[in-house]
Order: sequence, then structure tokens, then C-alpha cells
Amino acid sequence: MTAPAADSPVLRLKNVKKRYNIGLPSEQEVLHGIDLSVGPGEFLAMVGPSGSGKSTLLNILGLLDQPSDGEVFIAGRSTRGLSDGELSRLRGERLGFVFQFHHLLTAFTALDNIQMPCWAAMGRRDPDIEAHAQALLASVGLDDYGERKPKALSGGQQQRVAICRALINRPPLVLADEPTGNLDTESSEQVFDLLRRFNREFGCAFIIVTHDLELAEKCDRVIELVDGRILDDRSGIGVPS
Amino acid sequence: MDLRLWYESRLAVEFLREGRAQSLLIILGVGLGVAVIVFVLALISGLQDNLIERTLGTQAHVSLQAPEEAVRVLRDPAEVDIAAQAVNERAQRLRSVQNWQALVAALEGESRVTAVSPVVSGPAFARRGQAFESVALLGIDPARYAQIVPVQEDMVAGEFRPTANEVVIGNVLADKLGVEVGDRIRLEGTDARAGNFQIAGVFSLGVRDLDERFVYLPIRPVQTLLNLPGGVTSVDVTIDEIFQAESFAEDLRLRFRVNAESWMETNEQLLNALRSQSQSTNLIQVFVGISVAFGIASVLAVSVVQRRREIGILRATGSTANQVMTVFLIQGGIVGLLGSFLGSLGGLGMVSLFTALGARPDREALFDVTAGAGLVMGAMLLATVTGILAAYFPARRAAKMDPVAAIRDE
Repeated sequence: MTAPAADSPVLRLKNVKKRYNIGLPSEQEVLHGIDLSVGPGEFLAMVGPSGSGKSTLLNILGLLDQPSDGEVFIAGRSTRGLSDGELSRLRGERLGFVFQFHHLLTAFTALDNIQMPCWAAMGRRDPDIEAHAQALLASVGLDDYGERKPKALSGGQQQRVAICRALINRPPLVLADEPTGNLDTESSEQVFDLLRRFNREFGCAFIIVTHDLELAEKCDRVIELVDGRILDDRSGIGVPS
Repeated sequence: MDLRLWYESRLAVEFLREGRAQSLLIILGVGLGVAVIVFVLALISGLQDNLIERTLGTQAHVSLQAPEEAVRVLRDPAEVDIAAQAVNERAQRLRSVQNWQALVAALEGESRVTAVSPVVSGPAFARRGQAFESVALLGIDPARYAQIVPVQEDMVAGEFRPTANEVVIGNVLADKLGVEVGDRIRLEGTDARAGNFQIAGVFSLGVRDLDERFVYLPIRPVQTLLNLPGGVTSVDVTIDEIFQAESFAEDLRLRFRVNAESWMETNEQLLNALRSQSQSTNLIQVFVGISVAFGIASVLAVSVVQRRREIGILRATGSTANQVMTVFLIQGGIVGLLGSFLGSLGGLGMVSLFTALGARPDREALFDVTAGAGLVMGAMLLATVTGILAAYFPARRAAKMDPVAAIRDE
């Protein structure tokens, strides 16, 4: 299965394998040589049953985990052998994350949470970043919620704040792990529409891991992962059920 | 890495504020430890200062005397081998320090010296009617002597003003002789030299032996009574650094060829007691410090586990392992600093309480217990460094935490 051709991909996987318990009798390979290329501005859904290796793959894409074999290229640059500091910087600058459980820092306000990736990279507060964060909040309809802490926000609102955080550094690629998995139908739709809107407005690529086939259908490209292999990779509407 | 650590400090402070009850508890724990350290140190150093002050309140730091007279064996040059020699030690005459005026002048030129007082002293008898007491005559220059032993502060009657025919004696001797200010006593010295003197004042130094035996006179009448014309038996010196007394005495021995004795030599037992007291204080400090460190480390270790999710988020959003580690190190430092600040206040409070409760009925404190700024600053610095060191292992654990596992942990 080959990925659609894309000019200077934002992300490329070359024969990526992941094994656990290496050298033990319980050694297990959960990803069997994944090749994948994601072009700029692509809106991609990754589907598959539980245990198919979606989360493992997402963690490898997000540089949170290292492949046992193969290579990950971010903006054409191999990530093999990079130090923790270099990987962290790459993560902060080139990638955005949206998690299922929102994962905001409860000690900080919504506005602070959004700026966190910039603070980590710059080591200081910046008025331009704060203005950008405020604008993002406004664009998700939460202008007046900036000073609230996550506990004072609804699930949908928290997820919108998390999306703003993922976009604060204007990353070329956003990774979303079940972004609507924990939300009611209405909030799910709102969040999905938001992802779509940002994809179009900012031109950043999205990889959305989801169980929700309906949601996947609305994406431009769908990758189906089964038993650690890409079973299907198709562009356009419709996925085999 | 940004050395101002704004980002890391912000996270550390907000995390501590969020876990308010837990933070407060550990800060109080550190505070208690520091309070104990500050209090015990203040108490012990107050006690030691008091002991030293009392000891040195009645004696010089260094006292210079004429070298002792030794027996010299006369040898016949032809007779080279002497297998054994019985030596009878010489009886020590009362002798003057050689050339003492020049010595006093030289000592006054020393930068470390704060006071110099030539003293002529020796045994005598004090008599009044049938009462007959052995005493120690001290011929002094009152102005110089007062700088070393402030007798004028311990007067119970009259004035500290010995003159050619007026003496100042201790209260015990006054009682034994049944005299008071204005009465006359007869002093009998060497070779049947004697004189009648009026009591100008009565002192109480608080040391029975001294209050019973010391009789102060100017130098000249004592020289006459002891048959030591123009001589002094010792030159007493005080210096700015009392614990330098021994090395200073050694220095004087070499330079002036005199017998110089420091207070440290004459009070060796006291010094030993002070030293063992300091050692036990140090031990207390070390153990309290260790328990404070363990307290901080265990609370932070729990906090690292509690913050797994946050650590995962921070790592996913671009924070480096070093940044995460720094957050927890800063937390250790903050806990140490705040805890020691509270502890210092608590320690000072305990010091004032002790001073108030331990006061004698006459409202005078048993002894001065003061916790100086140096002690407080030292305790705070130590606690902050201890906090940072104690945070090291929990912080390293946080930095090594697998972000994937941390995020998945919901």
C-alpha cells in the first residue's frame, strides 16, 4: 500500500516497526513495517479496531515514542538519534497534540494552557503569543473564557481550548487522538468542524485517530490499520465498514 | 536553557499552589525542623557565649609573666658523662617581668590587642582586730585594669577607686572581716611590710574564691608591700578575637621570651566542654536536616506520581526532560526556602518565649539567647539547598517518566 504522492511531506514513515519486550519470550511486534507519507494540509483519519496499533503509531508520529526499526522524517529531516532536547523542540515547533481527555493543566487558566508550548520553547512570556492565544480562543467562541481554569469549563469547551493549544505554534501537523471520543454528539460535531476549519484556514495537516467511522468519512483520506499493518489507504469519501 | 527559569518556576509555583494542603503540610514540616535547629543553636551559642563571658569576665585573654626559674646543672667540662642527676626544683620567688614598661608599650602597638594592664600581685594577710585572712593583693592601674575586668560593674558598695591608702575588696572578705566602706584594715605583706588602708569599695564578681581573696590597690603600694620595687608580676592583655588567644600567646612567647599563658590554656576543661557541646549540636542539626530532607523527598515523590498526567502533557507539548526535572527541583527549593522562613520565625519565637519564661525573679534573663541574622540566613540557605538536593531523585524520576504512559494514564 503506497501513500499518495505529496510534495515535500510534513511527515514520512519509512518501514517503521515497533516491538515490545525485545529479547524476551513475550516479544511482540505491534507495527510491521509501516510506510506512510502525509502532505501539507492533508486531513487524514486513521481508523482501526482496538489493538490494531493506532495509538502506538500516533505516539511514534508524535515523537513521544521511538520505533524499534525504520525511520520517521519530520519536514524531510530524520529524527533518528536526536537528543531529548532536540525531539522536544521538534515536537513543540512542528507538531500539535489534541488528546481524548483534553489534558489541560488544571492549575493554569485556559489562556495559559494555550500558550504552554510557546513558553516551553521560549522560556518566557510574550505579548504577541498572548494576543495570538486570545485570537484563537475568540475563533473557537471562547473569548470570555480565557481567565477560567479548566475545571470551570465544559468538556466541549476544554477540548476547544486544547485545540487552540495544539495550534498556537502554527504547526504544519496536528495529531488528534480520539478528539471527540469523550464528547456528546453535538460537541463532537462542533469540535470536528473546528478541526476542519483550522485545516482549511491555516493549511496545517491533521491526523485524526478515531473509532467514529462517520467522522472518518468526512476526512479527505482514510487509513485503516489492522494488526499493525496499513490495510487500506484511500482518498475520498467512504470507508469499508 | 533559559537561566531565568521563568517557565519552570511558574509551573513549580502553580503546582504547589494547586496542591495547597499538601504543600502547606510539607512547608510546616520543614519549618518545624528549621525552628528546632535555630532554637537549639541559639540556645547553645547563648549558653556558650555566657560561659565564655563569665570566664573571661574575671581574667585576661593572655597573661605574660616572668619565665619560671629553673635549676641549671653545673658540669665539669672534663666529666662528660652524667648518667643520672637528682634535681630539686627551685622555689619560685616573686619576680618582675623584665623591662615591663617597654613590653606594655610594644603590646599597645599590636593591632589585635584591645587592652593592656600591668599587674603586681602576691600573697598577703588582711587583719582587722582579731580577724585574720589570707588574701591576694592586686596592684593595678584602675583605668587599664577596668578594660579587662570590669570590676566597676560589680560593685555592691562604694566605688572602684583604689588609691595609695584606699583598697577595694570582695564582699566575702568584707563579711569575714566585718568591715564596710569607710572602715580600715591592715594588710601585711612580705618581710613584715604592712600598711593600714581604708575600704573604698566592695565588689561581688560572683566567684566566691575571688570575692574572698582579691584586694585591689594601685601598683605602687603593692610593690612596697611585696618588696618588688618598680616591678610587676604580670602584664594582662585582651585581644579582639578571643579564640586566637592561644596562637597570640605562642607568638608573644617567641617574640618577647616571656611566659605567656592564654585563657584557653588555663580553661582547657571549659573548652573541652564547649567543644563537646558544639559536637552534639552539630549532630542534632545533621539528624534534623536529614529528616527534613527525607520529608521533602517523600512528599515530592508522591507529587511526581500525582502529576504523571501533567508531566505527560508537558512533554507532549514540547517541554524537555530537563525542564520537567527543573520544575521539581525548584519545588524542593521553594519548600525549603518557605519552610525555613517560617521555621526561623518559629525558632525566634521559641527563643523569646524561652527568654521570657526562663527569666529570674529579678527580671534578668538567665543568659542572653539571641538568634542573629547570620544564624537565620544560614539556616534558610541550608534548608533551601537541602530542599533542592532532596528533590533530585523525585525530579529525575519525573524527567525519566515515559510521556506515552503518562498521557494514557487517565
